[in-house]
Parts: sequence; structure tokens; C-alpha cells
Amino acid sequence: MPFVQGVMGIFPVTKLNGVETEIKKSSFSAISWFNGQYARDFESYFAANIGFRSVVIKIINQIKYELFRDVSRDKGTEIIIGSDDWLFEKVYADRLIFDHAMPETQLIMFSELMSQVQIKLAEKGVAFLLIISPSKAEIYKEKLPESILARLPNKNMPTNRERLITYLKKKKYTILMPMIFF
Amino acid sequence: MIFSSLIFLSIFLPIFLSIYYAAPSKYRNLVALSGSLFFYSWGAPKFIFVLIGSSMCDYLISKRIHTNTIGSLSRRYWLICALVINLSVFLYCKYINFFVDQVNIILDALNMQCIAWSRVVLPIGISFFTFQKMSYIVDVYRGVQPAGSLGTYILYVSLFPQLIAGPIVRYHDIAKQLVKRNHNSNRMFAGIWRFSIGLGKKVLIANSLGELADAAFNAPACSLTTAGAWIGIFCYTFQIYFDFSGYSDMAIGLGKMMGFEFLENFNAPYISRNFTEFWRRWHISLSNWMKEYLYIPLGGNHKGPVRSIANLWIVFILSGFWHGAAWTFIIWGCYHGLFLTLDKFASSRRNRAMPAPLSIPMTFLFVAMGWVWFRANSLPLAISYFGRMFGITQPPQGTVDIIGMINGQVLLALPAAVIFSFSPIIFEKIGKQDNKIFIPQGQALTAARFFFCMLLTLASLASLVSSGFNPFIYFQF
Repeated sequence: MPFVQGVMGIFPVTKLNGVETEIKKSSFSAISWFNGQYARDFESYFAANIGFRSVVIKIINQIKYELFRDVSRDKGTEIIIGSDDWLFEKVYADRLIFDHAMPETQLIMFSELMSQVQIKLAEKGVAFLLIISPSKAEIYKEKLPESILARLPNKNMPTNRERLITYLKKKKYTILMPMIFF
Repeated sequence: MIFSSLIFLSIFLPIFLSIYYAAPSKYRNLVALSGSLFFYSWGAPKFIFVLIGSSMCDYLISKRIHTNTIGSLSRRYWLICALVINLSVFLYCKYINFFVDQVNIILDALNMQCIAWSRVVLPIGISFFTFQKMSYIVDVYRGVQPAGSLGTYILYVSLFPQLIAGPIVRYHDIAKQLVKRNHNSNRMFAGIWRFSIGLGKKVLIANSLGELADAAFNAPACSLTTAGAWIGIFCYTFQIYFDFSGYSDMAIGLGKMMGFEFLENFNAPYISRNFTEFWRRWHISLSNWMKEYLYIPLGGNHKGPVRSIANLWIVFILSGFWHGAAWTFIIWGCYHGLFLTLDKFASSRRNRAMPAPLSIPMTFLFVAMGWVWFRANSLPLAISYFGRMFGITQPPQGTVDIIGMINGQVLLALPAAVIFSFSPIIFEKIGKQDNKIFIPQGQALTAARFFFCMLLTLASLASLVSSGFNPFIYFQF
């Protein structure tokens, strides 16, 4: 039935909102068959255009949201739901959990890189202002999910930013930290 | 094309079964053969010629073997000829890249020029159909009647339910069914039931746990916590079981739909009390093949304890290597060989067997640890993963939050995986009592199974529609 619906479009179905790349129908040729391209393209096209796809995706997303408070996510951008239905990118919430765990070597490398940038710009008469901006998760910590809040590190432990500042201060940067305004 | 793809479920399978059952009985093998060749060429359009060409070679040689007297030198000559051809193709396609890489490592260490090499692409399913072809040749050598026609033989090799990832079907197990088999509604419904169970195992359980396992093994080991490393390996332990046994269920189900009865490939391996029992329950078709065509011809356990242990190690090193051209697979084979050797010593000393509540979890734990070798992409990664599991290496630095990745699907899939992996113990216990729990009978059972089957299939389809490509683990072999 999904195949018939996909081909004939008997039932009207609303389209999905969101970022989707349109996959075009592949054309058959001996070359595309023998190098496997036709099969891959056909499968991608079929999967993207199978009947009732948008309905099924909406149902699955709704079930995930109602049962698990999971929001549909693309592999590169995972979204989590906090209190009052606030949305956060999970990668920034994870960074808060491991906010003390960046290796020293990485901090030193970053400060050295910034130093080189500063020197190069100074040679051209350009002032260098380093802005360390906080993430949404950092500013609105209280809106994060309980599961994240419970795993945040001890406030007494120096954060990655605080550790980085100690290296940056040695290089005499002009640093702007918007965090001080929140 | 894989069984859990939308194109297979929505287009290929319905059309194939329609044509298969619409065709008169005498043409059903032809339909099965055409469908199987199309199925294979869809995924591997160039290698279909390797499959057909080598099968033609086997068939012609099998005729020669059959015409020569049992025990004659020429009969043995043709057997060796066929085995050499099959093994040469297999070894070249699967292992030549590995051997060239090892030679280049040595040459590089000696500051010599490395071999310039264009990597050979591995034909899908070659590990499985090569073993099936060798099984046919040896069976004919031992006196089994060869296939009645080239078409029948190619059907045996290429039958799509088991072509790509098994079960490895020995020729003598299926020879009669290739000629004549029963098609009835009971078998058809049993096939649909089995197929839907397998689909659910793969899509709903294995895929969900696989995301966590992949995250753990793809992360730099230095960024994993000990808990994260253990969660990763337990997820992989269940992923590989449900992935592979799910595929086997689908293959067996598809076979039933076509009137074939394949042998079982899994029998609750994680309730094993030792590694010997594990290999009677895990990938049974491979164990049977190795036992019949390698272990016993080497002498089995009839040439004394030392030779018996040596034969065991040969079988398991080759088993490991069969799974993949990498040192990690060889070490995995040796790991299992070691525990099987220990089992032999334990049984020879007639020690009282460890009680099941202790032996089952212990065996499960050691099997799970063995999967680290199987899953890790390299030796250093495997070693560093073990280091994280036991907290031996440096404390983690980084942001790979395995625990944070446990979502609703994993919270459902993991307990389901545990229950279904260990439930045979419960059913054994129930069976010994007086059936105190209600088990539906007759029409109620049929209706319940039908409803469950539909629910499982719909849930699996919905999951597939809303997710991306999901190759089987054993697909790569």
C-alpha cells in the first residue's frame, strides 16, 4: 500500500516542514547499473518518496515526544528539551557536563594560535579583540533538563574557560566576556 | 538490497512472492533463481559474473568427480582442483589487501619501496557462498548425488534468503528440497511470523543499541568513561546478537515462504554455561560447517589430546580470520580458542560443574569482553578500549557522553534485549512446572500471533521510514 500511495498519491498528505534535500529520480543506463549508482539512487529516491512517509514520521516523532520527551533529530544536530519546553542543542549541554575536562595541551594550543593571529594582525595595524561568548545552555542553565543539571560538575572546579583565561592572560589579549553581563 | 530496506519490503518481496506462487510448480525454481540473481546483482552488479562463472566451474567439476570411482586418485584430483579454485578466488578477494598491507609495513620498516596496489573490492557475501560451494563439492566427493542441472546448482548457491549473510546451508541439508518441496499455508504463515520477528529484532532492538555502541567505539578511547566503555560493549553484545539472529530469522522465514526448511542458526547463545556450549548455540551453521569440513578431516578429537587441542586452535584461528581480514579478528578467534581449550581441561579433570547462576553470567561476561576485539577497528583501539573498561589508562578527557546518549529507544531496547536473550531459561523453568501461566491455544494463539506479527512489522516499517540506511553487521563478510 505505501508503494501504491507513493506512485499514485491517492490520499492527500501534508508535506513535512524542515530541511530536506530533494532527491531526484535516477535515470537508468548500463554504466549506472554496473557501477551500482542506479541502485543506490533508486533506493534513496524510493525511501524519500514512499507513500505515507510524512504521516509516519509525524506519528513516530509525536510518540517519541509524548513518551520520552525525545525530539526528532538529524545526526549532526541533536536537540534536547528542557523545562518549560525550552530547546537546546545537546552538544552545548554536553560541553557543560565536561566543562572542566578539556586537555591542557588543547588549551595551550588554542592560546598559541590566538597569539599568532594577534601578532599577524598587529603587523597590519589591526587590533585584535577576542570574544568568548557563552552558549544558550550556559546562560539559561536553569532551563536545562534535570538529567543534565544533575550531572553538571562541582561549581568549585575551574571551567575550561577559566583555565583558558589563565593562558590567554599571559599573552596580553584584549578579551571580552559577555558572560559578565548576565 | 537488504531485507530491512524499504525497497525489499515494499517492492521486491511482494512482487517476487506473487510471481513465485502464480507460476506453475515446475517453474518455481526458475522464478527463485531469477529473483535471486536479480537480488544479488542489484547490490553487486559486477560480481554476479564471478558468482555465475565460479558456479559453472564447480558444476562441471562436480560432474567429473561423480563419474570417477569413489576412492580413485582422479576423483580426489578433481576435488582438490575445485577447492583450490574456490579458495583462490575467496582468498584473493578477501585477503589480498590485508597481505599487501602487512608486506608494505615490513618494507616500510626496512626503508624499502612499498608495493603500489589498487585495492580489491570485496564481493558481497563471498564468505558465505564460498563455504556453500565448497560444501557442495565435498558432499559430491563423499557420494551425494550432484545437482540435476546447472540451474539447480546456481539456485543452491544464489538462493537469496541465505546468499548474503547465511545461514550457511550445507548441500546435503537442502538437496532434496531443491528438487521437491511442500508449499502450504502453514509454512507460509510460519515464514511470515519468523520474518516479522527477525525484522523486529534487527530494526527495533539492534539498530537502537547500535547507535550507542557505534558512539562508544568511534570515540577516542581517551574520551570514554569506564561506565561509558562498559555500556558501549554491552550494547554491542546485544546489537550483534539481535542483528545477526534477526537476519537469520528473516532468512529462515523467507525460506519457509518459498517452501524451504533451513536449519536453525542461533539457540539463545547468551544462556550458555561455557564457551563450548556457546559455540553450539551461536552461528550454528558456521560451527557445523567447520566441524564437518575442517575439524573432523583434521582428525577431530580422535588423535589424542594434543592433536585435538591443535585442531581446535586451527579451526578457531581460521574462524576468526574468516570473519575479517584484520589482526583483531584473528585475536578474537584465539580468544575463543583459549576458552574452549580451558573447557576441555576442565571437563577432563571431571570438576564439578559450576552452578548455572554463576556460570551463565560469567560466560556472558567473557563473551562480551571478546566482542571488543571483534568490534574495534584496530589493535591499538581494542587495547585502549580495554584500558578504559578497567580504568587502567588515563582518566577521560573530552565530551563523549555515552550515558547522556541513552534515550527512550535505548531504554526500551536494552531491557527487551536482556529479557529475550535470557528468557529461554525462564521458559525452560515454566516447562518443567505445570504451565501455571496462561498460554493461549488454538485460534486464540493464532489470532494473538497474527496481531503481534502485524504490530511488529508495522513498528519496524515505521522505524525504517523515519530513519536512514542500516546495514547488517555480518553484511560485510
